[in-house]
Amino acid sequence: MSDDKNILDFNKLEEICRRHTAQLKRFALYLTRDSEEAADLVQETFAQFLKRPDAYDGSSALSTWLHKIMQYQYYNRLRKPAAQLEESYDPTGGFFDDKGMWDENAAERFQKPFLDALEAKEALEIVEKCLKELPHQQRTAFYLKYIEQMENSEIAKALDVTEGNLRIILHRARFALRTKIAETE
Amino acid sequence: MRSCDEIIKLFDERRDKTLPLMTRVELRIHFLFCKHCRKYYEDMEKMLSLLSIKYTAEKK
Repeated sequence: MSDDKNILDFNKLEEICRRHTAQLKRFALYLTRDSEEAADLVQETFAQFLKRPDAYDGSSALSTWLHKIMQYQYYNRLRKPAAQLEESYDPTGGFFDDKGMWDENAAERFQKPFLDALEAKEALEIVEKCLKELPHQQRTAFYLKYIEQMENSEIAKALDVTEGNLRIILHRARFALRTKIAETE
Repeated sequence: MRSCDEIIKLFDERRDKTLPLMTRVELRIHFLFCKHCRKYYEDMEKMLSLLSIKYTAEKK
C-alpha cells in the first residue's frame, strides 16, 4: 500500500503497470469474453490511469482503483451509464414463503446431486457457462470475490456500492448461479 | 431464530469465519433440522472449490 501511494514518481508508473497487468487481463477477459477486446481494455485502463495518476488518493488498494477504472472504461464502451446496467433482479422469488422458510416444492428440485455425476472439467464448464448468464453487476461481484478473492471493502469501492449492498448482490449471484446450474444439469 | 432465507445470506460470513459464536451455534442447529439450507451450503462450497482449484492454478 505504501508503494501504491507513491505513484507520482514517474519512474514507478511502468513498474506499477507491469505488476497489475496479469490481474487486469483476467478481469478484462472476464468482462469482454474476447481476448482482443480484453487486450484493448487493459491498454485503455492504463492509459486512463496514466493521464491522471494523481487522481488516485491511496484510500484503497491500487488494484481496486485500476479495477474501477476498467469497469468505467467497459461501461463507456457499451455506451450506457453504469446505472442503466444495474439490474435489481432477485432470483430468490418463489423459493421462500412469507415467513422466509423454503417452499418445499421449489426447494425439492435442489435436493438432487449437484455437479456430482460430472467430471471436474465438465462441471466447471457448466459453472462458467451459467456464470456468464448472470446480470453484469452480480457476475462482476462474484468474480472479484470468489475468483480474485478481493476483500468486500475493496469490491464495494470498485463497484461503487455500499458493503451492505454488496452482500445482497453476492447473495443473489450465488443463488442465481445455483438455480441456473440445477436447471442446466 | 433466523428464517431459511436469512440463514443462506450468512454464507460468506460463515466462510470468512466472522460470525459471532452464538450465530455459529444457531447455524449448526438450523442445519440439523433443515435439509434445504444444509444442501445449499454444501452445493455452494462444492461450486466454489471447483472454481478455486482452476483459477488458483491459472494464477501461478
